[in-house]
Amino acid sequence: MDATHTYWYLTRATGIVAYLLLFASVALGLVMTTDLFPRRFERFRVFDLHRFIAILALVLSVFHALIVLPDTYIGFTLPELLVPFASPYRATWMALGMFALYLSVIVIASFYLRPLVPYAAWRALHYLTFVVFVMAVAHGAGAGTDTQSMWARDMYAATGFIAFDLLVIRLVRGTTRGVRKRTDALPPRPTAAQLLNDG
Amino acid sequence: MKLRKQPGAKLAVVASTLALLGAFFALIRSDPQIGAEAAAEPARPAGNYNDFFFPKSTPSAAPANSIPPTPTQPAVKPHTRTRAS
Repeated sequence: MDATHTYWYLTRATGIVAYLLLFASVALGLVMTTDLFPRRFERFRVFDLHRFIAILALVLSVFHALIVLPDTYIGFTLPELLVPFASPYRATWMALGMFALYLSVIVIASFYLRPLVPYAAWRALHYLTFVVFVMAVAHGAGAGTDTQSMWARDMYAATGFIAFDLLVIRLVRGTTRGVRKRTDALPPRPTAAQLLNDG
Repeated sequence: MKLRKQPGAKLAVVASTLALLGAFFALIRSDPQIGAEAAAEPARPAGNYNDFFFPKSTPSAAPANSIPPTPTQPAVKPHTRTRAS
């Protein structure tokens, strides 16, 4: 049975890891913009890692969706994997996964649109990540075979709880973005006149 | 994905991802519940994992030389008489 179901095992494993990467990216993004963020880390480095993990999650999600194509047991076709509600297998939960995938493409594209669009618009677009996360949880719990296992249920519960808590902390305490304590502030840049006088 | 910035951290993320993938693949493959159900199920050319993991009890066609079904017994009239009648 192993050879027959290898693709099925692969899609399940990649789905779970893609979900964990999405969770890591969401958690990092939330921590980064609150006062929970340790000051010894440079924010731009963590932002870069946050973006990298999100892209990795997307790559794994695409793999998770397409790796079932060679599986002859269930026999998915490409339209059934790409068109919401076309799947013969748990259509609603599968559709949620597809919506999450398409929305995450938009969110990741927004990383690169940041210099081109107003900050408020970019932020609104970036908030779609929470919708993606909720859809991913629903897709995993509803369509995932492993939801029957206790470890999978515990994983969804723990990650969902942590993400929700971080969101509440962020909403209650607000963002620390752009806020700097006076002790951290850089010294003012010398003016042209000062430079000339020094020279 | 540019690895040029913080290559160490990103390689660590990729390595952890691959390690997790391997671990979950092994865990799923060794799932005793699903393994037992799959072993009990004969190989089929095409199927549905819904039926595979949650088999439905579908009626099968009876062979021609099988025992014909017994005619249904007439319903026994319930005893409706009471002590008073």
